[in-house]
Amino acid sequence: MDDINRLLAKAGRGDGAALESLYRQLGNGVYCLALSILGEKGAAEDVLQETFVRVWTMAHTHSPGKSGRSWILAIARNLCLDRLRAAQNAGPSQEGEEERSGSEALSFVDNLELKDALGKLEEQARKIVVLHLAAGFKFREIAALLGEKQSRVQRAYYAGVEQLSAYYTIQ
Amino acid sequence: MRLNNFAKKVGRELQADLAGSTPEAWPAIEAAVRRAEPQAESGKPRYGKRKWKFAAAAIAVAVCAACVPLFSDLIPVIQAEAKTAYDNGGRLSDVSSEKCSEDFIESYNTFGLDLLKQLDASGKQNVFLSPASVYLALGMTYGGADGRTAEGFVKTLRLSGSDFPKFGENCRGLQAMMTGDSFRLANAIWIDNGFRGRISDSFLDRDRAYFGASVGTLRFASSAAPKIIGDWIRKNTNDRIDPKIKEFDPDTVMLLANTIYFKSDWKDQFDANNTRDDVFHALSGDKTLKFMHGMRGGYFEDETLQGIRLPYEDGKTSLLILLPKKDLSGMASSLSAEKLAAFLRQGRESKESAQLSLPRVHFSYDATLNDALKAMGLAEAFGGQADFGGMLRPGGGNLAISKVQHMTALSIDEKGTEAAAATTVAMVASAPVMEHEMNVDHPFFAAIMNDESGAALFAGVIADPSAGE
Repeated sequence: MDDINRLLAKAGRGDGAALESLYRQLGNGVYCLALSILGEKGAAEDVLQETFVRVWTMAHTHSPGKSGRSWILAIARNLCLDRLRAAQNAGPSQEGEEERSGSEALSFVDNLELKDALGKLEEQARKIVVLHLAAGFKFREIAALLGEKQSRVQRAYYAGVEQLSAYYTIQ
Repeated sequence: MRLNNFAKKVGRELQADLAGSTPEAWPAIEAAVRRAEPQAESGKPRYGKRKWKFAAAAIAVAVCAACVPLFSDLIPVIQAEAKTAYDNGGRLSDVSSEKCSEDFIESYNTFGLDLLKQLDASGKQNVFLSPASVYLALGMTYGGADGRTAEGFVKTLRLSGSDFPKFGENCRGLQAMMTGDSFRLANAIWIDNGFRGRISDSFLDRDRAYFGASVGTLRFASSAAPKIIGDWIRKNTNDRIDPKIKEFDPDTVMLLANTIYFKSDWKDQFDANNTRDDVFHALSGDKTLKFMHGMRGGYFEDETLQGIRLPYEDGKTSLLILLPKKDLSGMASSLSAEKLAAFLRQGRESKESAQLSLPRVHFSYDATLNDALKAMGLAEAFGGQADFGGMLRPGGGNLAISKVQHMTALSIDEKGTEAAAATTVAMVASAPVMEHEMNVDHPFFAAIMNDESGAALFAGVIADPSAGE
């Protein structure tokens, strides 16, 4: 049983310290995923919180034979999709807010040149590059999260990095 | 190969940025899971009984940065029980009726006055401290000191013994003075992501129990770290303190911080119609300032000084002003905790009034306290011999203090302290007979005091009241 599954099992038995350890290990990745999908810092932070609250209440239902890491990331993705669906059902956005979605997806990037270069990538390629390089997600995890084939994710990643290297020179 | 190397470098940069930018959501999660009431553990609460509420606010800030190499792991955090309640931003929101012992107040005030004297109480420049803020930040650090380093804290904090639980209880009492609408107080500890695993649970528990410290992690090397901590300080000080941190020492692994914010109207406000230009005789030369005028009680004097106590509307705090008849440095150097308590008592019991001329005050102050604290007995805590074993898990290496920074801001006007607008309460038409005049037109000592205990929550010498304008 890997570390995440062991911690999940402990959290399922009501161990708050185990939940915090899960948060410390996966919080950055969950936030990055939510930011990539939702493009809003506030919404991503909400999802970050909701994910681990959901983990707490649902941990006892996790099957020990399955990847706990994938299970937690799937919770985060589903919470993001719920939000997007709720936003769509809420009707047209208010005037002036049309362009808001996605505008903060790269808000965590401090280096302005790198941010600019990432911003020039096509949206799906940018998500894949960021989730792989920043959050450390594996290609198969990204494929599962984005509902893509792993081979397409890998191709999009390499094309994205190639494009990025043309836009951005590391000093 | 070229692309792989490029991707690795970009990845390292993005991971660092992400770690620095991911919001610290654990306190909110912790609060939510407590409400979620999942599978209970044999009838025992997993978390303490503290209340977790959001509030806001702050005026003084003391920061202790501890340095050492990095490491990586995770630790469980167990909430200690505390009678005092803080929200999940480390802000004091409620407190039981704990009181400090009298000998603690004396040692606390001695610490504040000694620190003031170390920094320069000559009156050549403004030096305004919050002894309470420095004391609480150092108190949190003391919680992790061992051996001779702990002895250094006992000496520096002017304590009579090394009983930490007793000290912690007194610190709770000190914080209890700063509750209510006019005060906001917050304590926090930030730990570098890579160092978290080396910090001892019992140290965090202690500081949570006695100081309600919120614990957060970040990457100090990240360019986002100064902003995160700066934002916390600005938010808790109502933007009165802007720390302007550009970057942290690359070896920084932990930061302990306290903020205090005070804002209250005078019990008896000054009439803005009576405010007029007058000359303040600073040691650097005369300056024309706005002087407020009014008849005020609480006046006293002796052969060396004039004093007045101006109560605030909150009913438990007052401003004590001591105006030297000769030079400020002589008066300040002879000030002791005993004398300060006596002056406050004279101000409270005085039946005398004075026609007071008091300049509006607006300035901020920023100082590194390293040298002053070293001179007061804390030298070992800054060096390679420092022993903060109480902060660390076994084999966790060692820590030393690298910098203690203190910032304050003070505004006094007709309405009160830190009030932006002028005026309102009219003076009574039947002016009392003038018995004394007190014209605060040259450098003076001022302290915001807790009336009941006599603790100086803020204290300093004001050489130029308009330095911040």
